[in-house]
Amino acid sequence: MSAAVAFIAAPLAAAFLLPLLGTRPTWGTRAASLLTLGALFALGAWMLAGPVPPHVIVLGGWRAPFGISLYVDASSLMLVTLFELLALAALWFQHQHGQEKPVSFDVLVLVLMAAGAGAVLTQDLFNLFVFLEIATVAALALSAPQTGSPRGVIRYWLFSAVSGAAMLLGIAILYSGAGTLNLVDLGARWGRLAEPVRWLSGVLILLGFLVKMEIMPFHGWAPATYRRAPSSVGLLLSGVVTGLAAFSAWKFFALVLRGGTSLPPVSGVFSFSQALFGLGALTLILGALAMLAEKDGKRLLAFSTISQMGLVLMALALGNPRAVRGALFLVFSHALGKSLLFLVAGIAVSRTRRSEWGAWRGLGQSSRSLVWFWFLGTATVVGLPLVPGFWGKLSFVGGALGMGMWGKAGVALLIAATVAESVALLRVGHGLWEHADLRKRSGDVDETSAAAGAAPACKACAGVSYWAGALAISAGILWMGLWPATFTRAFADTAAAYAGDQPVSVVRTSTDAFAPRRDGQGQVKP
Amino acid sequence: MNKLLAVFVSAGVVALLGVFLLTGPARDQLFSGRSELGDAFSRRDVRGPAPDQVGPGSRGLESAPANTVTAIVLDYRGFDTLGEVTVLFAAVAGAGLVLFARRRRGQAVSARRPSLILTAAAPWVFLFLFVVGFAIALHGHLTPGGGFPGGALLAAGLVLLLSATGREPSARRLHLLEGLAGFSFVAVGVAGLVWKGSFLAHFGDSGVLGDFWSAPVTMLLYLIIALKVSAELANAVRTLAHVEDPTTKEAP
Amino acid sequence: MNVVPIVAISALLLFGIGLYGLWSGRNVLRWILAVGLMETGINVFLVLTGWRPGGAVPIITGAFSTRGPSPFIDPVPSALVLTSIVIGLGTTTLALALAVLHARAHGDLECGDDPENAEVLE
Repeated sequence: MSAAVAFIAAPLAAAFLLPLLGTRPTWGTRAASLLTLGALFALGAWMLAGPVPPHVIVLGGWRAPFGISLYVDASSLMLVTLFELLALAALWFQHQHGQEKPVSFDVLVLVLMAAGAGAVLTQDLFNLFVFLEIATVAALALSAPQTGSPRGVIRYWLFSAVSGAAMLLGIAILYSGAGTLNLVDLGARWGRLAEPVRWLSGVLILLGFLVKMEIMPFHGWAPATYRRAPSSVGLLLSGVVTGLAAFSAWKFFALVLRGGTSLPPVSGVFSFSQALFGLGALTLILGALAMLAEKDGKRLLAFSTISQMGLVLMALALGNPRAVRGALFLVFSHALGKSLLFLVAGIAVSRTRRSEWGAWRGLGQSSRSLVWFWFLGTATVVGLPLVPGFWGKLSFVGGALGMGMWGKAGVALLIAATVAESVALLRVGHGLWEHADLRKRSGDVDETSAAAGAAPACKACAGVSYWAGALAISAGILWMGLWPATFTRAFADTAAAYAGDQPVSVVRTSTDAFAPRRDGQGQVKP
Repeated sequence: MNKLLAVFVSAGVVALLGVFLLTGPARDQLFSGRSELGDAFSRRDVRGPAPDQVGPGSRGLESAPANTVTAIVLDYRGFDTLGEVTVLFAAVAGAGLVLFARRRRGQAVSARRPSLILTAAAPWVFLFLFVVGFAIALHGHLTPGGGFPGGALLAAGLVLLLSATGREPSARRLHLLEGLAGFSFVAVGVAGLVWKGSFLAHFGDSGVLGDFWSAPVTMLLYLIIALKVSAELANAVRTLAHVEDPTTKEAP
Repeated sequence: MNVVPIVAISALLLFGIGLYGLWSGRNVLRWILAVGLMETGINVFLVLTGWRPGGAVPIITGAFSTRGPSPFIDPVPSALVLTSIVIGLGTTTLALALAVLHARAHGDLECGDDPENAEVLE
């Protein structure tokens, strides 16, 4: 039953041992990191092939509220397996098409995997904080450009350092009031806390999640960071980092804040779920509009991620089971679709050395696959029928329509944002597809970028290596889009287990060992 | 103007936090310093009832370090510490990655010869730091301190040697130490999984509370952490010391 | 004597000084120091949450009864603060490396907006 620990321990062990092979990348170091990720992906797929009963893994042998425990169920395993797949694609792409990076690059990708698995699985608030910090440190170092301005990354560091500090302060206040760190246990005591304690700790801790999810007032670091980072890292940032942030934010939200049940009526007191819903809606629409105005391909993808995360936050804030199911679906579909887009963008950038999508015109002429993969990625992110994004948005709409005026407004915003997003992404796709001659005639591209675009900057750009990663992700997209039932069932089970409307679930009973030994002296504050 | 705004914003945030935390119902609820978790850890009765009296000489406790903070750091919440070690590892590896491009060029750390005082004193100070560092690390289960401060002292010794001799510790050796130590941490965790059925569970006879030779896994882990931290900090200093002066820009 | 207000206010002041440092300039080194101050303030606050009147240092040096109330302060925040200090050290190391990168790219540490229209590499 402890097999899931391997998702944290194995990448860490590999990351510790990898520098022993030398600082310079060789085929040995590359093979070692890819094999580790491949083995973990295979383990995840193997575990998912059988039934996955939800279970709690106790670490160090100390039962739940005292020690740290992991909660493993089908959807968290799926998410972790997805992370491994994305990391495989990203690392493979970087090895084949990117600049030569030292072994530390592979090491940090492995560390990021361990952090992702830890943040998704852990049931302890402070442990979650530690894993979020590990993920941030790894993501920061990975996205730092070795040439050119690092201002985006410095801003990323600043935002995450301040939000991490705020989160720690929130945890300190919460621990001081509730006297425990286990998420389920905290949820049980949340109602007994004084109003200011709840507000302060809730806002401060949520701040940490929102920065990592790139929600609107706290997104300022993202576009510049994505633009300067290699596309493989952009893939990891938008797929893994936001994904783990969204999932862990939801854990905190559903287990501690008890937003898991429903959104209170509009006339009621302003609540966390309403605030988050509003922020999510703002992010959704403004992110999509920013995409329309954006001339830089990678910044455009960054705004697309921001907009999608706004939608995920809205769905999580709504909190009814259908909306939560939709949010989890969206996390998956967004990660898969955006990865394809980043792979194509990476090829385009490595050929033209420009990130303005105007400079990518005509690239699809020589390699059609770029265009097909771009359109498949667009369809997934936007949510055409028969790709996973559709099921996610459908589920969100279903959940939102049952929630009165707020939900209806959310659906209207979603439609507007989807239109804007598809226009922006299809425009880039069309540019890729256009004939190179058209580009010369229209003359709207300046000389330098046209010249760079003409130069064959890379020999094997659309070769087998790029196909392998893109095809693997496409297979995932098609599988999720055509047979969503497995995923829907897993997400629905998770949503029900966390929401607490079911009396008996493993998440909640994991702390029951605590109950019988509450004695007089052990009793906490009222 | 900007600074005035900064003063107002930060003063406002501090005042808000202060008012919220130190007045009204929050004050009554916070800062009681009493929690079920902490008391259970102090009494060592998480797994089952502890003996009526606990003190130096107690045997068979569920967690043997006399220092309760160490018991929490390495035993009750050992998983956090694995994460903590990983943060440091990732940060140092990340600094190496970030500053990788120019590493080849700036070979010489410093052209100036170190002063006589430094070279004469370095071996003795190093010896002192070496002994104290290991002592602090190995007494972590009894006294405040442990692997992190101990490792920092060891790293200070290594850096002192670096600046005194002008030679640098080989990156390969530092990586070897760091990697093997990190791997041993995970290996201890897996050993707990194999013998006790739970990752990072402590195995072996926990010994008598207060004795030097007690809590063997705690001592082992702190030794591992000390070695790892010393290698990492020395490596971090080495990485940052190799940076050329960016203000005297050479042609790219 | 109740030390809570004194220590809490000092912690919040440290936090506020850090916040002021962040807000009042664009220098990367200033930001690093400011974030360090904020983290220190929070660490002080975290240690304070474990304090209790008359509580002993959580190291067992004499026998005590496990049936009565625990004579020690709450040791959990002290353990958490160890972790948070090390995390702060790690992020500071990385931030210093990023500052070096900034100085290489721009020749100074004044961090403004990301310059547009430049070549990017994979």
